[in-house]
Amino acid sequence: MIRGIHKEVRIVVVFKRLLLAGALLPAVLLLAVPAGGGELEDNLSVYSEKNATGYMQPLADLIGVDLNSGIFRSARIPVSGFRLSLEVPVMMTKVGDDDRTFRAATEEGFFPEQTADAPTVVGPSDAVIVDGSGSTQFAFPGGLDLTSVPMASLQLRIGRLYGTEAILRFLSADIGDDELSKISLFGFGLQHSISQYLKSELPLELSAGFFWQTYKIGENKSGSDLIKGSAFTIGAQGSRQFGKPMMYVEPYGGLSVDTHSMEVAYESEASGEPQNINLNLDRSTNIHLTIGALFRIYYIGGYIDYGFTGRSTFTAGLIFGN
Amino acid sequence: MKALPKVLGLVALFCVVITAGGCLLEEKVVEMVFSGETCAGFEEDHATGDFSSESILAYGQEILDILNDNGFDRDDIAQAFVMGGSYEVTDFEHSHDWTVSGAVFVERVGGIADPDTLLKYTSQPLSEALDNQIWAELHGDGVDLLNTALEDFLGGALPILRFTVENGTTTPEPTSSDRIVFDWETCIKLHLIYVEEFEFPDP
Repeated sequence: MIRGIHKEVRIVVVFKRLLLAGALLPAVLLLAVPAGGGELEDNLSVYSEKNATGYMQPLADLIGVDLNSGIFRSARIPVSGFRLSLEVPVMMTKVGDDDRTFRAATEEGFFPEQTADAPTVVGPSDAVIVDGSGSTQFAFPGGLDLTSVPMASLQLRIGRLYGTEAILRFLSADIGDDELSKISLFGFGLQHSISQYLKSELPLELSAGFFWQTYKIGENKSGSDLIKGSAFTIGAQGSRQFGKPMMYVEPYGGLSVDTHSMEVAYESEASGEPQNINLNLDRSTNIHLTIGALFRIYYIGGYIDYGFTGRSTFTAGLIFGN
Repeated sequence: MKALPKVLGLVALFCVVITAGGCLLEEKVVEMVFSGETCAGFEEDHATGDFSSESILAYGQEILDILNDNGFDRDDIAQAFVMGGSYEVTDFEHSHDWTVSGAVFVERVGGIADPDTLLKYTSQPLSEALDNQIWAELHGDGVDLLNTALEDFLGGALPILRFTVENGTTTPEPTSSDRIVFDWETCIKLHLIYVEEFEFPDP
């Protein structure tokens, strides 16, 4: 019997969804919306979970460093008084050489199994092709070829009670009709003056603080979050003001421990049956050193600082309020 | 009042920063990789262990239809090549198992060349391949033919392929009263490279 049975050609869209989703958070927070965020196909990635993790991990780590930057500056917190300020930090973490490639393995069905240095999501944009047996070839997808991952935010600083200020970050946006359109970010932290407890006068002010953030991007077919993540930082700050009470320059520094984790959950139909894929990217933990300076002229100020976590981060921002 | 120009200068700087947020967008061109699979099915019903069957596949048209259904054109594909191949028994029910050995060949319909070997299977129990995709190492001649067909497809053609199963031995040997009956398919997995453009802030 001669018969040709047609089976569907299953086209998979590799990481278009993940790549756009991972790019969406910093892009939206930089008051920009990435193009190409239209209707996305829900198909199985050419990468297994292990390769997918290697591909996405650097972007998660870079986003985590950005999120944990631009929070603390001045360590001078009077014991009492009213403070309300709106801050606009802009963070930019440099993509390192180690972030651009990962050791990827060819997937099931390709012979012989082999590994290659393939682009990560922030790495070179050209696909890497390796040769197999019998003229077969395997392609590892390219990346966004980024030099840095920028991010901006809006945060509110409220104080002061017993030498304590509260910091809030909040963002909620629905920027389109596709499954990546929804994004939300919430952060809360406290900064507390240590100097108030020290009897002897030190040449600089000291404080300690923590900040916790959580974010969600998009919605998958089952109605749950496509991407969600959280960041946490805790550390100490030191600074000293030079100038008049409402017109001064204040160098500052800080040392903190930062963590960040990200999860991606999407539905795949490559096997013919709906399959939930949960990509748990590795939690990153870093020691974060910050040095910078801020200036204030009455109710407007600005600052710039450099942070080092093993990666370099530059932060600049404006302050409106007291 | 002396501070006013400084304040205005800072406000202006803020506006520049906000405006520049849009100018920081850079167009990124990324080579994305699609994985696609096309299969040819066979229905076997034989009284001998040495049998042959064919399957015709409108290879190019099927790939084109699926690309179009997913919003892509043929022109969107920069490269396409064969990544791997497999076979799988899709329907088998019998009082006992069969073990088969043979090969799958592929040729262009309308071509003049002899069929090329695509893959071989050796001592394969049907029960183990039932609903179980068995990946096979492909032969270069067959892959070259498929890759040439893909190149022709990207160039505008709609190649049609003929897959032929040549089964050499079956254990136990089938008879007229104990016929070997099963359905199976051979699938070719493709990688297609597509260029995607994104706008992303990259100062």
